[in-house]
Amino acid sequence: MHAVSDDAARFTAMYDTCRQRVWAYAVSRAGRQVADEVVSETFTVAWRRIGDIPQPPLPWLLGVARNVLRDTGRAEVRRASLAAELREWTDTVEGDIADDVADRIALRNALASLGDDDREVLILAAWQGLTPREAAHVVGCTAATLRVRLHRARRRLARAVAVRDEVSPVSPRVRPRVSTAGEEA
Amino acid sequence: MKHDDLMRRLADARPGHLDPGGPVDPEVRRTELQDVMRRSEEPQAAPVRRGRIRVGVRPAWSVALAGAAAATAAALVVTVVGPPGSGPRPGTGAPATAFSESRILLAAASDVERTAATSGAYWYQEVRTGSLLKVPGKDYRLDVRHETRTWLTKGTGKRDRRWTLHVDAGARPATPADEKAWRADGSPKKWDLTDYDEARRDGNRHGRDDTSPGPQPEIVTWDGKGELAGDAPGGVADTVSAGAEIDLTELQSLPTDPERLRERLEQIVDEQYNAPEHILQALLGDTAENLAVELPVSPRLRAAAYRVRASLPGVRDIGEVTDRSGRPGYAVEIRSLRPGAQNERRLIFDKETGLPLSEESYATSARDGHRPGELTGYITFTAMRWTDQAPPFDRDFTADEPEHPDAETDAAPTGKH
Repeated sequence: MHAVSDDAARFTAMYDTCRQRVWAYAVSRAGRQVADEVVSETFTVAWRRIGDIPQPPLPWLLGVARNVLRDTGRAEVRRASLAAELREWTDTVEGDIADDVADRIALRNALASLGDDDREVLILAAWQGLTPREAAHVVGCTAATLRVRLHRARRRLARAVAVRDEVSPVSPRVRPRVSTAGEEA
Repeated sequence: MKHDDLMRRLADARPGHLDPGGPVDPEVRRTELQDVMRRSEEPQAAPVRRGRIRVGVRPAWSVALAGAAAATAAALVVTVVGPPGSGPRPGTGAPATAFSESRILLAAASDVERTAATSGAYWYQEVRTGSLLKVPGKDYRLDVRHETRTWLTKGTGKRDRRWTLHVDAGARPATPADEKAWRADGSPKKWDLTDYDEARRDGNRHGRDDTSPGPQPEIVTWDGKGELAGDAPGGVADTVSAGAEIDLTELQSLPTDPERLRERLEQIVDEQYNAPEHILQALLGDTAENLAVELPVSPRLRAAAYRVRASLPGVRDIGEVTDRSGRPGYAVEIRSLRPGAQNERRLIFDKETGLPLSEESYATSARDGHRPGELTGYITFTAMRWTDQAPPFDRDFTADEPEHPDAETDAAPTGKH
């Protein structure tokens, strides 16, 4: 059995490595309004179960955050918070080279236009850099299911980018599709 | 998914504030750490260590599994005599730890235990996923079908090697009634499933103006596009091991005694997930199901997985059914152990061999154009066997619509700046 101070040191190290990642995940899923609460809840669970956390801890933590998100607040608040976040993706784009900026806008527009489920797996893979196996931990499905979901999401993203490129290559406008999509069984 | 320009571009497009490597504000860090660790000073919230899990309910499980073994003989008779679903419904409204007593699942277990073990270089699985979707503006639904073929073999070390082939298997009217409506519609062989009305309502709800280009069209056809993509070992995707995070080597070490198997699976789930107790139990159920219906396991291990699932709550016998491929079988209903789940599933087992045939999802509430009780999607296991035949491709490929919309632009002189 570890001393409590060892646990505290371990926990603090884990917090320093992962806190911003958990926050970024929560923001990308539900916007800033609810993200802080989710982070706090997530690390509270992590502290209580410090002896159980696998290595690497990130997929485990994101899985907790996801469960917390599911039970947090009212759907309306989440929707509004996420809609604000999606607008921010396309209204503020960093970069100096015009082509890069245009491409980023196109990608973010396309991502924002996808369904919640598609967006989630793409964010886990591309923005959090998780492998399908790790992403499957987070989502709570099998790796096989995750691969099919990722494949489909990727194709829909490609299609969305293609359409937007044709119609409106640098439009900063987006129509966020925010659904209350329930959890998969 | 190597050579994946689209995913790289998406990664590049990540907004600055979502950089997971970004710094934490020192003040936020201080208060957050303090709050979190102080909250846990309450006695019941002290750090808990592995092993505390479900200690309280374990005796109930043990009874349940003993019951499972004892019920096997009776279940065998049921298989012969007639549809087991006609009996009294066990388990309804029972406490969460009650044994479901699914006679169908237990009968399937003893059937499957008697099937012959096979062997080969690759575990080959063919799975058809169907989604039942309403055609916007029409009064019929389509069965939109996607096929996945998978070859799995041990690699070096703990890493399994996996090949996956994705196939667009086309669409059909979902039911005979839908087919009638489809004929009345002039029997089209191509459909646009984009719900433009919904997109517009969404847009209005979120106060967007109408300058955006609108939703991307979702076109499906009768014949489908055939092979869409192949994913061979060597890319990111094949760092993934089999199914429920159990690789082939570990699979072979799993106990075939139901009670010991359940303990081992509890341990695996507990190591790999965090969640409140009831969600851990749901995950245990998922893992047992994966073992039961998806993974390359010996007949005895498969039977043990059925028995573990039968020992968990939420299983109810349905009786004789025909699956979406027209195969007769026995079905059990699986109620999700997760709160707020919006569907309920059926697992269908072969009448003779007890092997898994299909999984079906039904809506429990009205949503996405589905009425409560309506089939929303299904998975049929169309092939599942060991084979010595190697996968037909050894590198990733995509036979797809534009994956890289600017690929040509890149090659053209004007695209280079």
